[in-house]
Amino acid sequence: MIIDALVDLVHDKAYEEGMPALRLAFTHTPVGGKTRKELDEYIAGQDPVTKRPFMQEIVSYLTQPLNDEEKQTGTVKREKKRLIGPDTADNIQKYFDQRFWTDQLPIIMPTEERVAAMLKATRHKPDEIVGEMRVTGEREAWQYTVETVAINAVMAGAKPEMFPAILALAASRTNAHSSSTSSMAAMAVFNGAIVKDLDLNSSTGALGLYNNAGALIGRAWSLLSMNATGGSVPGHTYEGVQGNPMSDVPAVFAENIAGLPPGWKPLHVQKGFQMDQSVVSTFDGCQSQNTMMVLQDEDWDYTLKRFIGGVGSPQRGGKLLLIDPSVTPPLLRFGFDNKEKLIKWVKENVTVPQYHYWLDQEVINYKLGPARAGREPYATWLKLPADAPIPYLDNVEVVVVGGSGNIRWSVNECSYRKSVKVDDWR
Amino acid sequence: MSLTRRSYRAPQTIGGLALFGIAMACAGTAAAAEEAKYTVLNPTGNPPPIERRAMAPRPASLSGKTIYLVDETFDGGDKFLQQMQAWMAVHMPDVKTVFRAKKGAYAADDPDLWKEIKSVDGFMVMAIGH
Repeated sequence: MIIDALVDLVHDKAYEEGMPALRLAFTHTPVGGKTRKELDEYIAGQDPVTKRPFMQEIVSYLTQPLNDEEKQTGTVKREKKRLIGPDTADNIQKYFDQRFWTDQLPIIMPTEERVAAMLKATRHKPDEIVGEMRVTGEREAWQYTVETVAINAVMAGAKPEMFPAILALAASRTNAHSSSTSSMAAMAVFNGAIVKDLDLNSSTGALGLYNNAGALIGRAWSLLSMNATGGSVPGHTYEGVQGNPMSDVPAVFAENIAGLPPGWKPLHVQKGFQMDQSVVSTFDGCQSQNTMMVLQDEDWDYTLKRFIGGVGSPQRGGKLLLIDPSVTPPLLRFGFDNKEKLIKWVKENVTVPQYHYWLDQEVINYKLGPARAGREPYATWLKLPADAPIPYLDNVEVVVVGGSGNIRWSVNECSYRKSVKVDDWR
Repeated sequence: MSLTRRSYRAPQTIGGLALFGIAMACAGTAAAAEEAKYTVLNPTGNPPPIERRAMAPRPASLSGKTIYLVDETFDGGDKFLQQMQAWMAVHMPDVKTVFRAKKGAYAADDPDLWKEIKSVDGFMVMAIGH
């Protein structure tokens, strides 16, 4: 049984699991937030998809003998046509748009010649598997090759010198178009020599489309994320309830190394890489960007807790603190003479009372089951008193970025995913 | 072996390439015929093969059987199943129902529960709320 809003998704999932004729009953959307009386009306009524009486349908699904289709076994291979056309650019654009192989903006035609030129920027073979992606953790994994990445890079308008950076992003396997109903986005931060090579932005407007390399690499990552899994099709492979503009062209920027105060290491060094190595670090699960001004000496701790904990469900353990260089002096004064101390303070001090934690619907959805199965720390948190503070953040990172036009910084609901060396993909 | 993917609202993710060819043939106008033509590469990844699975055999009747109503903890699925259980108690008195919340993450297996259901030769209806 499933809600009718997910009718296409659930048929897709049944197809992927080898049971395309799986007997599915639907009820009205939503179920969450409804009274028991309203649910009784759903149950006594019709399946909104099949228009059959809902409970009669359930009984028939459990008792009707299997037909031949439902008994089938065996392996089904799915082939794709490598070349499309010949046709005009307008018709090909339309064909791609209709299949959600684009971001609905004009693309560069990925001809064999253009893709071959892109492939020259790496020593890796076109048919080498770079990675695999899923639209969500529960859906099937699709693989993509160096050539697949090159095709999407061409479509985005990226230049061959950007290709190793795009391949490194692809190798992170971070999906910038997750199909979560919560409308997630992603971000990527570059460190090392590649920042100068590509003139990536770490200053004013770094997260926006104010830098050619960041915009084109971000768009290539976006298109690859849509197409690696066969297209980002609303209802099928994209379920974001409201969508997220941050996922259209993910923020791709550089850390502001010159703005790091003494003692604060760049992100890639924190992750074990050498200072001069070119590295891209990805963040996903991004759902909001919350900006504020500098903290005051009198109540910095109260304000920091309120600001970081003020947005989003405590089910999400990730926060990415993007600190403008102008905001670092007071943070040093508060004792945060390295990033690690700030991260530790946030993880220990941003909390929510146990009672409210377990009433959060996302927590119920994602953490209650594991808690019941004995998974820590959730099993212990479930047993704590109602007023016990739950330190729910477990994925906190700090990156320095910005042009210091004002004493502003931001908390982003993002989780660190992976860091990949760019030079491995040259 | 063929496998048809169902679609209710949006175009299919893959397939339909033959239709594309027909559409391209029909869409051509005199003006378009003079435009540059492109042959382009397919930007999609490679889907895994699908292993088809047969569904479990069905009984002729549910009379005397046990049906487990299993919640996987998403948005209100528990309340929905409990109301279903109440409906079945009134309208299907010869069927025993058991409400259970599955352990583990919402998409994770719960081997102990599956074993329990099998031990009573029972049936399962799982609800995914939202």
